[in-house]
Amino acid sequence: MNETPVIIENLRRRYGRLDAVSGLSLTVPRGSILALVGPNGAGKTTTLKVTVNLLRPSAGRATVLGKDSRRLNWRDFQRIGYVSENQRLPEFMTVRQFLNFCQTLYPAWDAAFAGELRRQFDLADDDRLLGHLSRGMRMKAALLSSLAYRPRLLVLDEPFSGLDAVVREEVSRAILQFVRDEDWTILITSHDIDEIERLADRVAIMREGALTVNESVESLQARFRRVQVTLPAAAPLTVGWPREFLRVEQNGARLAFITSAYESDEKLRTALPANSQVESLTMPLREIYIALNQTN
Amino acid sequence: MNIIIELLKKDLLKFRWLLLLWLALIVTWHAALFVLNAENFKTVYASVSVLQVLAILFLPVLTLLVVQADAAAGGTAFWLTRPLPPWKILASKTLLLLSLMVPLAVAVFISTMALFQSSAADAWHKTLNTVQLWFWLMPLYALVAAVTRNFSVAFGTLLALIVAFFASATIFSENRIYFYLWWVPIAAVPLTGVIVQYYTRRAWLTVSGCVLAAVITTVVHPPSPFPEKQRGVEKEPEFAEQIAVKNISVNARDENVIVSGEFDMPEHREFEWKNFPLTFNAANGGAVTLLNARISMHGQREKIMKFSFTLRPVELKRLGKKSGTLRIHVGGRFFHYEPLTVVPLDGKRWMVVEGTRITAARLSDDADVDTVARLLFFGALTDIVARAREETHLYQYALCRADDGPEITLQAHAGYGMSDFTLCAQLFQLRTREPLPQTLDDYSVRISRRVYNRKEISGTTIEIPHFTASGTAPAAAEKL
Repeated sequence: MNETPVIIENLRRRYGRLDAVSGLSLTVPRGSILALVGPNGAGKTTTLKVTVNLLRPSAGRATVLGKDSRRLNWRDFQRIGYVSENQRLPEFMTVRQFLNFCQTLYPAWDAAFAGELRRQFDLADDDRLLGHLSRGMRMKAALLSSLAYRPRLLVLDEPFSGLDAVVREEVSRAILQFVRDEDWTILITSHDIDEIERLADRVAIMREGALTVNESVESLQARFRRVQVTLPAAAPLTVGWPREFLRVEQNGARLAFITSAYESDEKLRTALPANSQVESLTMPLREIYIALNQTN
Repeated sequence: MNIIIELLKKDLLKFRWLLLLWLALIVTWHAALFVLNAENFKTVYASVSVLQVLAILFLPVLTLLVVQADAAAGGTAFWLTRPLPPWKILASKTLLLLSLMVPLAVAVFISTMALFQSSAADAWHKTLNTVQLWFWLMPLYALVAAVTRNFSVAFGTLLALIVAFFASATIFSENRIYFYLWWVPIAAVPLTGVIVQYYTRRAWLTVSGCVLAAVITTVVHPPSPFPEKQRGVEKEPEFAEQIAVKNISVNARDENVIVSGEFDMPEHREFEWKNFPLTFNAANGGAVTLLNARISMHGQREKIMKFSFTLRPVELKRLGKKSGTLRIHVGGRFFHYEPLTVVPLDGKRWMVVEGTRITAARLSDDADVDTVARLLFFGALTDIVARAREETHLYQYALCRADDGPEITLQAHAGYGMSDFTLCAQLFQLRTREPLPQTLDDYSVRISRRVYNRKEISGTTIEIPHFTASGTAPAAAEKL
């Protein structure tokens, strides 16, 4: 089966009069990691919940593993993993009881793999109650329970929320390894842009329920550049810069901006006064994201 | 099956303390029944009632919690994104909820066998009767839990439903006969709702499923409270209507008292019960259920119901320290016939009064004249009470005085109050200030009667002719 794991078409989800998601279209190719990022209230979690049939779309549709998300049933969740920061785990269970319980649910549960993950996540021989664990440990237990059966699609809603740097590193490394080795598809939301930059192949930025950017991280980093220009002394003060120049700051002969349509320094010079000295710098995803949000 | 067991284990683990509390409640409740013969009968009975009410309240709470542990409403439920078939969740919940009935059933069965010395069949019948009410209501609790997002909303919804039910029944049911509601739709409708909710998680489909189930069950069998109207037959009799009992006979046989009689079955009635509960309402509060009564159909054409029951030593012993009224629940509904009064005199002696006549008395071989005198007085007294009842339903009081001898005061206190659900029991008390003379030769009695009405108090004195009872006590008793 080579179907595209997730296809979202003109998705709309309303809460009363509020459009949480409006006209979202998105595709997550097989074997990729797509990160949905955006400010709080942008509609990321709603989109994921529609994807796993926790919410029904008001309009449009989401096709998951070849099936309308509204028709996903219990059998489909043998191939889908869902971990959310708000997911309530059975806190009265110990880690061992919880994982044993999950094992009975999944025919494809790989006990050896689960054991390996337990060691990797430092959850081996843990007889503490889930309710007594730290947030990070609970998240690791939830992740483990959604990884051990090798799902074809993993939907992660803020998996790094509340995790310390060490745990984030462990989780990120594990996710990258699985995608590389197991050809999984991952749809992830996070506010941790640095981790997203490490993990994601593609980034979709949402704002007020709509998609503003949807492209690969490489492409995004290729077209966004921080540019510092030294203008010639005789150059007149320019008022109207091209639209792709973001956050333009001019201080005398020094001009600084971010361009969202970088191709080459030579092409850039054509939009600047003659004899300008141009220096373009690559940008981390975090700065691109901030620039986009502030500009929008 | 493995998943069902695992789900069951999960819920057992989660609710282990509450389940233990439930078990403790049931055990304490039924253990308290064993001390009902104690002197502080009223206190013990009140304790039992409190425990029973606690159990009644505890069950919906437990049901709400168990179902909501894997609710079908909201978007945070763990099972919604796990490969858990809804039917397996429903099966595990059903198993757990049914298992709540097990300690209740066992407790009822054991206490019935031990306390009433009933046969296993009788005990099983009582057990089924007790457990079924709880069982029928469970789907309703489960539906409320399934369609609500959290416990507080579920609990509030359930309270609102209960209030709405009683309010609507009070407003719309002229006779307030809630028990005519047919149990099948009461169980089938919410059960359908639960299943639809778990499979679709869509409120409008759940409501549609409930409506459809209600329509189907109504078409198959019109639900009460108005089935007779719908079938064009006679209207239900009034709440307070009494069924007249005829040809009653009370006979002492060996250690037992056998009471039998018959009554005309109302034409619109269809009795199917082979057993019916017989309750002894103690004068000072509390009730004892007697389980050995049998009712049998006597001819379809004549529409006569014949009944009989036996008061065995175990029942008589239980009644021995109490006075009160036997009450027959005909068909388990609101038809009460209360002509029989058991008046224990002491641990070994008693008499049974049918209406105004003493119809049977068991006297020990060494029964003294005092006993016989009491029987005589009581016979006269109940006659007054019976006549007084024709005049008022409020209150009667009678004073008996023996001329030319030690004063004997007998009080008859027959309350005939009526509430929505129960008819007050008749209450008789015998008090003796001084011992009776050793013989009853030329013993005369003057009985005064006062009838307290809502508007007036009238006093009448009735002279009872001399009657003579002499010789040994059993011989005197035969004169009765």
